Amino acid sequence: MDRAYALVSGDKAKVLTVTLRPKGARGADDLAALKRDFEAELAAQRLRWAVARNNRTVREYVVENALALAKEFSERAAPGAAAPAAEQLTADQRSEIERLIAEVETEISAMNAQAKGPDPKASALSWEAAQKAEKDGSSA
Amino acid sequence: MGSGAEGGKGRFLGLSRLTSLPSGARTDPAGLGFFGFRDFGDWVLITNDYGRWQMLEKNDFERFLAGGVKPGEVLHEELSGRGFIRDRMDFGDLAASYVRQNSFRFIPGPSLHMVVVTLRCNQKCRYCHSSVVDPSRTDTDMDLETARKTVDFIFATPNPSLCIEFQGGEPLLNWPIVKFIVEYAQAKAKAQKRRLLLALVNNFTLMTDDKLQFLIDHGVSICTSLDGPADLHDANRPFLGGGSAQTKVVSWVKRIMALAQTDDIRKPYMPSALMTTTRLSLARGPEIVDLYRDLGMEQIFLRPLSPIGYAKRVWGEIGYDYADFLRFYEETLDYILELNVSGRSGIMERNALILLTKIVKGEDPGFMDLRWPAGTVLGCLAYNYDGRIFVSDEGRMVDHQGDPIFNVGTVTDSWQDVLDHPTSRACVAASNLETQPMCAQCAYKPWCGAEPVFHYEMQRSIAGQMPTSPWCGTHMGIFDILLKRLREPKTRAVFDGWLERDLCQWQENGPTIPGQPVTEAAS
Repeated sequence: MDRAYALVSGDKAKVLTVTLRPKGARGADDLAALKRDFEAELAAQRLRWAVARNNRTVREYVVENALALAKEFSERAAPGAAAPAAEQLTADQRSEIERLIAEVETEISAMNAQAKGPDPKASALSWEAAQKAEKDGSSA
Repeated sequence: MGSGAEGGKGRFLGLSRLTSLPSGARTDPAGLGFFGFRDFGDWVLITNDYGRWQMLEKNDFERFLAGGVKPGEVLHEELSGRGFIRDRMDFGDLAASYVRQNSFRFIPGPSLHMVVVTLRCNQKCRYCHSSVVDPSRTDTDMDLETARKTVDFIFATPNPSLCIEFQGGEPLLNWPIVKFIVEYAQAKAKAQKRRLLLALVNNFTLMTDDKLQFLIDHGVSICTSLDGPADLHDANRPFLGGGSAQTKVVSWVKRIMALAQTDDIRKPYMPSALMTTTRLSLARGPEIVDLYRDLGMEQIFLRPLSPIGYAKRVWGEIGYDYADFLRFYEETLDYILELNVSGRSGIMERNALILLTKIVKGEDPGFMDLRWPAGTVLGCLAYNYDGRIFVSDEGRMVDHQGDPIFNVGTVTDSWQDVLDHPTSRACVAASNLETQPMCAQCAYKPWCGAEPVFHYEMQRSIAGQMPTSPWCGTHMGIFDILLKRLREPKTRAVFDGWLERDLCQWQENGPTIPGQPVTEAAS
């Protein structure tokens, strides 16, 4: 890859000429190999394009079928539920969430209050040192 | 242009990574169904849009190309049954196969939501994608209000199954917010009757018994990083305070594994580990595998390093050519296969499992990096500590390096605004392999994917240029390696065993009772 500069000229409805100019200095063998590779790629592309052109309608038809099938599957799995159910929090759930928020706020406040210096959790200590500090702290 | 499939490996002198036709092959395309092909020398792989495939001997491939495989032949029946003969197609069967293979295309909205609760970290990993800051920078912690709005946004997206994954930085440094999100999300899931999975990615250095109990009680799966033996892991992932981070990881993995062994319900929460391959890892594949075996891990994920975020800056020190990764992958996979064949271990490799789920089972494993259109926005979103939303975690890392291009909104926006954001649309349009030169014709297209952020970082184009893309080279190489081993009866038997054992319990695909933790594996 990235072996040559390519110039395509001519009338695409009639004949196109491709001129390849190798990048860097190349010997005659390299030029012959480049020509061979280009012709082989051209043959492969001719087949690939023909197969793609011949099968375009078939491929589109199968994908249309797939879309219909997927819709049928999803409706069978959750009838009438194109979108998630609307949130219906019960009074208990609402109060549970309020409790949760209050609890986390307290926890964060406590954490901030305990903060001493730039590394309140001793997170920058080695594990061994942090464990020792924790042990010393808890036994104190 | 090679006649054999070495396109994914090594240096290329051909015009394309695609292989050419057999020399002098006669072709008659009129009766052929659509197919891509890849020449492996003695045999050729053919595939189609519907995820069907066949390995053909070279002479059979040439007969197929020339329209010489006739009705009445066994081969004709096989090819017809798989959609390769144009006038013998079972459209209903092929459509069903297409849906199964590409199920993600028919499910609305992202399933994977990565929440960065803090950028702080107490490790300074040499490749850190996550673009972290010093532990003292509490200003990069997600606050309660943002956490609540983040969960509200996630539950406003339409996918019936959601996975929230805690990322960092080191998420345990902002533990109250992790706890809040877990409980608030579970309450919302219950109220909305949605499936919810929760996962925590952490380095274990700040894990405690209380935190572990909370995670187990709430069904949060735990994932960590384990790069290999202590010297390798600690060189890749230095601990800010000094000392061995690997010791800590190994100690917690052992503890949780022991817990999981004693309780079936907890089995799905057995810790998983991610291994990142750096230059230091390349010669040490078997040693790394042995460590995972010794710990009783069921899988190892041999992941290549991505030159994104911080890793891009230090690529010269720890990076490598993708051909080096492929050599490492092939050698290490062969070691794993040998362990399996000899009965010494049943350890599985996750890259292989992901691709084999696609190839052999014809199903989507829910892996974001290998789908098209790309997983960005349609499959996943990343939420920064400050409430900004990115197309993926990699997109967030690019932002951390000063380029906000992949920011698609904030948690106060609507899901529709994020989906309609020009960057979201550009990522989807750029990652359609049908419009990508080379990919559109590649035999691996049914199983492959696109990665706009990687190509933006590497090639300054979200579409990328596949013939020179290391991403393409890596994946094409892995496909080549696996397909060759699928053809060998011994290794095929190992792969089949893996697929039987692996329940494809991908985080974003697992079954759950609405609002409840996962208690059983997928069937």
